[in-house]
Amino acid sequence: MSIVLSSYLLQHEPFYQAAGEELRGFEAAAAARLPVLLNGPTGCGKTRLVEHMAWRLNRPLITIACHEDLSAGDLAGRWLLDAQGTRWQDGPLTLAVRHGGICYLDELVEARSDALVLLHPLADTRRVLSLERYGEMVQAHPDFLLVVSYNPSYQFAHKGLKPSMRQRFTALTMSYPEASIEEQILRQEAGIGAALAQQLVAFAHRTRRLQDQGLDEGASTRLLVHAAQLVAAGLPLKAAVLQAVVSPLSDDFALRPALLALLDASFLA
Amino acid sequence: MSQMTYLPTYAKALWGQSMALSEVNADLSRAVLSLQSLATLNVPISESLWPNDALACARVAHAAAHQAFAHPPQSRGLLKPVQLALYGVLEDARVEHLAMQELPGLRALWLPFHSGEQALQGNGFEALLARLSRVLLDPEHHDPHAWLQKVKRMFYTPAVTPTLALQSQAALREAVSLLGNDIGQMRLPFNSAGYCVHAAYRDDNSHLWLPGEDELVASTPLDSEQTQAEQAPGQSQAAGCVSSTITEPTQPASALQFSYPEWDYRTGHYRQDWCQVYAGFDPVLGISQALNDPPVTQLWQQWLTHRQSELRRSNRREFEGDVFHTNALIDAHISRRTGQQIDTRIYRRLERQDPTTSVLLLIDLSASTGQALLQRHGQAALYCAERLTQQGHACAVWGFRSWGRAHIDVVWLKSWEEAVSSPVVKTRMSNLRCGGSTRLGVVLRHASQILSGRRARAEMILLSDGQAHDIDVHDSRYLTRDYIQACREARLKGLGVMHYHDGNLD
Repeated sequence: MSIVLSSYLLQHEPFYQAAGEELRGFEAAAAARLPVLLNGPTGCGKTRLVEHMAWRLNRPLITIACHEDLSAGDLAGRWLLDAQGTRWQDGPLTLAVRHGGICYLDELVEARSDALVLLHPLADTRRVLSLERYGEMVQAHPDFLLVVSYNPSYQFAHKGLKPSMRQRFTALTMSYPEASIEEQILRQEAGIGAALAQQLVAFAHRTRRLQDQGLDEGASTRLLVHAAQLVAAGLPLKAAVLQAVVSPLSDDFALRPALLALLDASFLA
Repeated sequence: MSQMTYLPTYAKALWGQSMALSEVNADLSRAVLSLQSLATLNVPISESLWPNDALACARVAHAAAHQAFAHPPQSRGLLKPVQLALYGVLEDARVEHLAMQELPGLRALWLPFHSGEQALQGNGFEALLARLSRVLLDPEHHDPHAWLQKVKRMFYTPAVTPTLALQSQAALREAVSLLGNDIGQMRLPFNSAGYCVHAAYRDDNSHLWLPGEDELVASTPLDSEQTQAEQAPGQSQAAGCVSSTITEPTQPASALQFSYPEWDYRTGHYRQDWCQVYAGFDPVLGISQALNDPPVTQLWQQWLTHRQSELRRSNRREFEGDVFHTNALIDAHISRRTGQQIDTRIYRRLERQDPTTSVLLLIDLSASTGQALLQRHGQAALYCAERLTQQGHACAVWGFRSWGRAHIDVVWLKSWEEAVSSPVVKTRMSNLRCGGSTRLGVVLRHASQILSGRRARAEMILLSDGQAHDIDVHDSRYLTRDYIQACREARLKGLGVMHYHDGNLD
């Protein structure tokens, strides 16, 4: 691994509780140099899985949060102007490709189409990155691994991944872990007791029933961890769930009263 | 009744079961849970039963507990009115106890209706039932009455944390037989005709018994319940549409006629020229009514906001961008040569593709949609059309219904050119009436053909309950498969298809 990316190496093992075969699947894809697509609801552990695997594989991790203005130039690099004139600066994707690291594009579908096209030759057997403006074809380092995530429930008619893109990836479909595993995660992440973890997970399951009632997504594992951490920091349980789970979930006029009533029903004052 | 909007959502969250709230025009003293899967809570139209959120939530949570932990309805057999009333109190306590095992906050929700000013005092039978309800809901509460203590000992096993001793219907029946005898021996009078469960949030418990056996609950207004029960699943929203349902095609003679194929999944072929579509304006009836605020969900708003963001343009000098801004570069070079400070905003962002879109909103007018849902879909369509036109998109609204393959109405509610605020559009939208059936596939084909003739990128949003059926189709999969095929055809033409159903967009 190049020293250029040493600052992107993780120093400590990020905690990750496997819910299935995703660790083996990820390792196999890395060994076979195949790109990985992670799909699943928000806060189910996609990013944490990538961080954990980066630590496990001892590879630098460059994470890019995609947004609707993310262009090919933002990924590949651009010409800069300085006192001596113009000089080329590699973008984050180019750094990972050139020096061997995991490039994680979070919520890929948010990126602009020119950014997506840039990934095509990288994600198939060619494993090359075309720096059109710089005039270079960068052959990917053997340790380069492309990982992308997206959340299917956010997609609309013109904002899904096209088959030409999807079929370049191996895909790991993730979901919220089953109750016992989710409870373990809360206990590990926030150091709370089993009974409290059970109550929080039961509450989350109830909110997840509302996805056909107008709620985009139910309470994620991430929100539960936040609530558990607030409790561990001394906040009463009900107040912690209100702050960490109910309030971030929705401010919809029809949903919020239902969530508040559910909060009252679920926890003692 | 503002509470009504979130209560079904609340009920769904509790134990994952759907509950419709139905207002019935009857003199009810307590709510009535329908026998049909306990899925409908009938409440009187009178606002007096919904004075506040606490009562509304308590009532729905109690009904949901019945739903979640109910025994099947049983025959009254030889149980007397006193024993029936007792059984109701014990069954209420049983389901509430089980509910509170999972949701301990419910006790605080229910208890105020049994204690304080709400508590019934006295030693009459009805007062004892009310006191018993309190004791069983809150086992820590001490009531010195010997009979109440006896019931409590029968109902709960002696333990630090009380658990249910009476769980099965047989055990409950046996208990009320014994306890009823106690009441008889105490010679406490009981007027079963005038009896009403004390706690205001509890239902009348008529759902515990098989219908048609006993005069005690026979007076409950089950007419509306039967109406609900007779409807097919998913049609509960159709309540109230009887008077406004149309029963035959109303298309004017000037309508345009089109022929379309239909996909037969069994043969894997299209039936050519199988369906006839009649498209045109509906005869306008009545005058415009004020439309309420539309039911807008987060997803709907996000989608509209996303579209708005697609319109943003920037050709300004930027610190970061896709390509150099030529003039900015020249200025920067001049600044460098003349020793002035360099403005480093030397990039510009590439513009996006023109995102102007033609969006066609298709409202399902079929009888299965129901008048209430149809009104909400009409409001949502108007809101969406207004936002989209503000953002520069073209938007039209059609309604559709079918009367067999030979006559599918496509009703123009708002043409591409008409303004959303136009009185004639509002009049048409406020006069939406449900009727006929739903033949989704052919409507999509017609819409696709019309949209293909427009230059802009196009999308269709189907506002429907999604139940494809028609009077001349008896294979339940046929029209659904045709609809899927029609969606596929539309996507191959580059047309987006989305589905909106009562606040949900996918």
